[in-house]
This record gives sequence, C-alpha cells and structure tokens, in this order.
Amino acid sequence: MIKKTGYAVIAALIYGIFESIIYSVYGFEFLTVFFLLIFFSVVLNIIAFNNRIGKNLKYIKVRRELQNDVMRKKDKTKVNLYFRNDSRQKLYFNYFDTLSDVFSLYGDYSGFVSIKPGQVIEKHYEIAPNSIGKYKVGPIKIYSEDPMRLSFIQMVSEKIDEVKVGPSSSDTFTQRSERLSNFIFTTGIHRSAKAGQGYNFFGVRQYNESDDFRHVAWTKYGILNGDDLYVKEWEEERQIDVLFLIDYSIGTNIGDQNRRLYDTFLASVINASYIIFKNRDGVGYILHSSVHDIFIPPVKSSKVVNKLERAVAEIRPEGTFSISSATESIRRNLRKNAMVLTLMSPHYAILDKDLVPKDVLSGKQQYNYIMDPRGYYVESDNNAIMDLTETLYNSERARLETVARAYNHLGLRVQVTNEGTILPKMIADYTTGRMANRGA
Amino acid sequence: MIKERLVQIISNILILSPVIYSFYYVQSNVISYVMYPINWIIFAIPVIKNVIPKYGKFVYPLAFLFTFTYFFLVFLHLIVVKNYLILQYFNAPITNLTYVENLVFTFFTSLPFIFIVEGAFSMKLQRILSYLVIGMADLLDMVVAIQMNSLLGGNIITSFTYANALFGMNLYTLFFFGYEFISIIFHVSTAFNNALDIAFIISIIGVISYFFFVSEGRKRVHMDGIAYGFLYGGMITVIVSYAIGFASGSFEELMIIAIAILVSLIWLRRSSKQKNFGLGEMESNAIEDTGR
Repeated sequence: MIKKTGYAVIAALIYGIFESIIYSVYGFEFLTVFFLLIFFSVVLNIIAFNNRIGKNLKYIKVRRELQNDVMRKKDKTKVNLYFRNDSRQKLYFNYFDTLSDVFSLYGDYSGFVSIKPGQVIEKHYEIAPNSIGKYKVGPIKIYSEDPMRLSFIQMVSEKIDEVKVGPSSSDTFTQRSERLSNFIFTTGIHRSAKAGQGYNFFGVRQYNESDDFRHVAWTKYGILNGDDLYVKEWEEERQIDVLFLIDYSIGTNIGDQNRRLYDTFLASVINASYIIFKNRDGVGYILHSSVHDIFIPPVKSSKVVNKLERAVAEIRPEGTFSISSATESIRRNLRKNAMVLTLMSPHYAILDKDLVPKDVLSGKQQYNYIMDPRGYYVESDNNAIMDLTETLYNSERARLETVARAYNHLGLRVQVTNEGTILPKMIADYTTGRMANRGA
Repeated sequence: MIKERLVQIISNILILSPVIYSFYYVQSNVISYVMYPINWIIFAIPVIKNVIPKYGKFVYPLAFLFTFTYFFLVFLHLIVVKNYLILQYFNAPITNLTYVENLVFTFFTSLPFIFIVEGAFSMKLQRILSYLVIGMADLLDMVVAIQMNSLLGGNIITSFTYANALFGMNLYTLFFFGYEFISIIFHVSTAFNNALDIAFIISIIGVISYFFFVSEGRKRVHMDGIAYGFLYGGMITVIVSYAIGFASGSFEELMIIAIAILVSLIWLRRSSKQKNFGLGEMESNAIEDTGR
C-alpha cells in the first residue's frame, strides 16, 4: 500500500516534470532530466519493493508459545515467538504482538527481523498481568516499509491465545503466615475434634447438685463465704457459613494499571476466607452484577478459594449492580442459613426511594460495605486540581454516608469503608456474628 | 535529537540547492530595483516563524493582517478628504504606477526566500519537493527576465512583464495549437545553466542522503533495496531522455513523457494491490529444527 506521503511526493514530482517541460524551452533541459530521474527512482523503488518484499511476505510462518495460559496477577510468564521464511527471498519486517494494556511487557514483544530463506528466528518476551480476568494475546502483526518510506505492506497472523489471570498470591498473606499477629482478628479459638462443637467460656454460676464436678471453677472456691462453690458455664460454638457477595459490575473497574477496585475486593475476600477457614467455618461466594451471577456454595476447605480464582480468571467486571437484585440472588442461591458479607462499589451505591425493607433484607444476617473511591483515581500534581479532587472526595464520602444511613433505616447494616479498613471490618463483623451464635 | 534535526536541515538545503543558487543569482542582479525595507521584512517573516516555534503559527496570519490593514488604511486615506490624526501616516503613493510596479516586483523577488526557509526547516519530503518546484517556477521566470533585460532596453520591470507574458503565450500555444510560441529566440546563458546543472546534481545527492540519514520515525527499514530504485529509475530516465531527443517540438516531448509517466503509474498501481492474506502458522515440530 502506498502511503499518503508517497502519493503526495509522486504528485509533486509530476507537477515538476510538466513545469520543467515548459521551462526547457528556455534551455533548462536538465530541469526535466532532474525531475524525471527523481520521479522514476521513487516509482521504481516502490514497484521493486512490492515485487520483492510485498509478494513474498505472505510466506512468513509464525508461531507463538505461552509458558502457561493460567497465571496469577503480577507473575511473569514467558512467551516465545517463532518466524520462518518459506520464500526464496531474504525478507525484512517489523513485528509486534498485540497485547492488552493490562500486561507489563519485558523483552522482544516488538522489533525488527531480517530473515533468510528457510531460516527460523526466535524472539522471547515476558508478560506480567496487572489485573485479574480473561484477556487475549494476539494477533501478531508484521509490516515492512520500502527504503524511501513511501509504501508499506502489512500482514496479520490471527493467532489469538486466551490468558486467564487469577488473584495474586502476594495479596493473600493470611494463607501463608502463621504469625500470632494474624490471629488478632479472631478470638476464642477452640479447636476441637468435632468442627462446630467447640465451647467458649461464658461465665460462672453457683454450683448445684446436678452439675458435673469436672466443670468446677476451683479458683473461685470460697471467694465469698469460704466454702461456696462455682461451676464454669460454656457456650456451644456453632458452625457458621460465611457468604461473600461481591459487586462485579463495571462500577468496580476503577483504579489505575496496578490497582483496581475489584482486585481489592477479591484480595480482601480471599484474605478473610483464609482467616475464616482457620475457625473451621465454611466460605462461599457470589459474584453478582446484571451480567454475572456466579454462585460458589460454601465449603469449609480452601479449595473453594481456587474455584473463586478460576471463576474470576474467566470474566471481567461487567454490567450494573443493585442491592435489590443482589438480595434476590441471595434468596435464590442460598438455602442454608449463613452470614452474608456484601462488598459494593460506590458507583452503584445510590438512593432509591422506592425501596422497601423486603427488597433489601434477605432474611440472613447481612453486613454490607460500600467502598470509598479515594485512592482509585489518578492523582494530579497540580495543586488546584488536588484541592478540587479533595473536595470531590469529601462530597462523595458524604453522599455514601447518606446512602448508608438510608439503608440502615431500612434495616440493612451498611457502612462505608476504604481499602485499609475493609478487611478488619469484615473480620470484626464475622467475629461478632459468630460470638452471637448466629449461623447454622 | 538536535543532531538528527541538524542533519535533516542540511539534507533539505542540499535538496533545495537549485532554488538557493537561482535565488542568489536573481538577488544579485535586481539589487538596485527592490525596495529595501519591504525586502528585509519579507525575509524576516519565515525566520521569525521558525526561530520562535511556540508562536510560529501566528506569524503568517499576523503578517497578512498587518499588510491588509496597512493597504486598507492607505486606500482609506485616499478616499477620505480630511487628514485625520492616524490616517495621515498611511500615505503610500499607491496611485503612482512606478511605486506599485516596484512594490510588486519586490514582493515576487523576495517570495522565494520564504520557500527556501520553509523548505529547509520542513520535516516532510513532499513539502520540500513542493517548495523546490514552486520556487524554481518563480525564479526561472526572473532568470529569463534578467538575461533578456539587455535585449529589452534595460528596464527590469519591462523584462519581467515580458518574460511572464512569453511564458503564458507559450503555454497557450502549446496546449491549444501544439507548438511553442517562442522557438528559441532567446536562450539562457551557458554559465548559468552549467552552474544550475551542478546544483541539480547536488540536489539529487541531497535526496539520496535524505533517505539514508533522515529518519521519519523509529521503525527500521532495510536500506539495501534503495539501490534498485535509483538504478532502474536512472535506466528508464536515460531511455525516456533518448526518446525525447527524437521528438520535434514540445508537444511531442510532452506526449512521450506523459506516456512514460502513465505506464509507470499503471505498473505502480498493479504492483500495489494488496490482497488480504493471513499469515500461516508454523508447525510445532519445525521449532526443533532450530536446535533448541
């Protein structure tokens, strides 16, 4: 294909030729020769390029090999590109592998190749995804220009690979660490052989004849009269299931290349899940929006987290979210009693005056969190814009607080949170709910 | 970046060397006829535009605006009977034919400088070639006028008018009657022609150096193939020039060149047709041939 520059150059030269013919009358013959030489050089250059390179470029064979197509966020994966020249001409071209901007790229994902007939050339590069979801790698495009840069040829290999990206293992610190500080969110752990049948100390009361002597609180003996006896009372710990309902609408697709709201939701949820597993409780998930409604039933093993990771690697946040549709999804999917923790994006946290309590109450113990968007928009260096942004953040926070209060009036527990406090709040509410013996 | 820009400007100047030489020749011969303040103002305009890139785009519009406003006020001064405080300063003698002739002559002799400067600072090849063509068109008329001056009584304005009228007559008779009006009653001096031929050779060197040294982007191209263009182009130019030698008259020359151009363009168009081919996929066992 001839570029616009090529057409413009040819047009200028043709005009020059005809003008020079007129002036050749006065003896300026060399003017005509000059313009003819430049014109034919340009035209023959393009023709020679089209016949040598253009006709043979289609004989280039390409291949892409991915080290693995299921990966975690931020993990590097190697990609190999191979080019083979099946023509009889030495060819040269530039290539690039089309990739989404969610990938950080390292190496030769684009470049220049000069390839002899029959030769195979390898190129290697690495990709590190910055967001979870399913993304495409490809197609591979090659293009070549003539030496005068007036025309070009482009060919495409429609080889597209799909890459599934799960949450980063570096975000789920609670899975790995057994440090004592990780237990600050959990209290009263009592591991018993039978899950869900442990006991929490409740208090002491006066001993009577029917009590089991094993539960006597000897430290309290004679505390009042000298011979008064007390027994310990125990509260039965019940197993509870926790269901995380995650807003997976387009409202969670805010942030920058390295930090997205739905990433934060998933990292917090997975961290909370591992803490909950330590208490031998079950965890399930619902990924909900107007487009997605993926239910993963509560299970007590960490395999459910793998299911969640596989599910989120297949999709991306889409659609809209509403509390009433989320409530409907809970009622439809969740048959057993469970504690529901809902994470909502700020975009769809809106006041709907037509809502009544039956639209928002699922009948389960439900805690809802609206995320403050502060930190998910690109900050500016300009002081004036920073001041304006601060005002906007404050007014948005005030709006979200108003929405939370409105839902509270309907009987739904809603609070506004941010990235730093969402995990502690979820665990605190979980612990409170557990200790209040709600659940299964 | 600065080094690349400097190389580009040098390459552009080489390409524009015929225009630069012709401009020098014309200016050195019309030195006593031009109106100097206006001459220098016109020279300064493109220099200012390129030296101050931030506000460069306003220079030409402002220049047109000032010129138009000045002449409008001069006309107004003519029409209005009373001499107002401001209008009294706009009293150029535009009713004086000699003044107007000198003014127009100064403008047209100074205009090629704008093409030279703009061409030297231009980033695109098609613009440089366009400035070359337009500049040569303007200047060759003046060269003919200068060299005819001694035959026509010594008044450069008369010679300039006569040269342009001859040019127009030539065009007319060539296209409507098939022959040129002037059958070489006048011929440009050999000395000027020889120098101009050398300038054209330098220009060709400039064009070649442009393709080698000036990069219009960061993509790499293979420069081996550039020889094909100049080799085949040179061969065809020799053939066409030889064929022109058999032509009697400009009309036949025009026809031969037009046919050569038409054939080239058809061949170009046919070779440029791109069909939508997708690239094939290499088999996985072919990778073992690389010895991995």
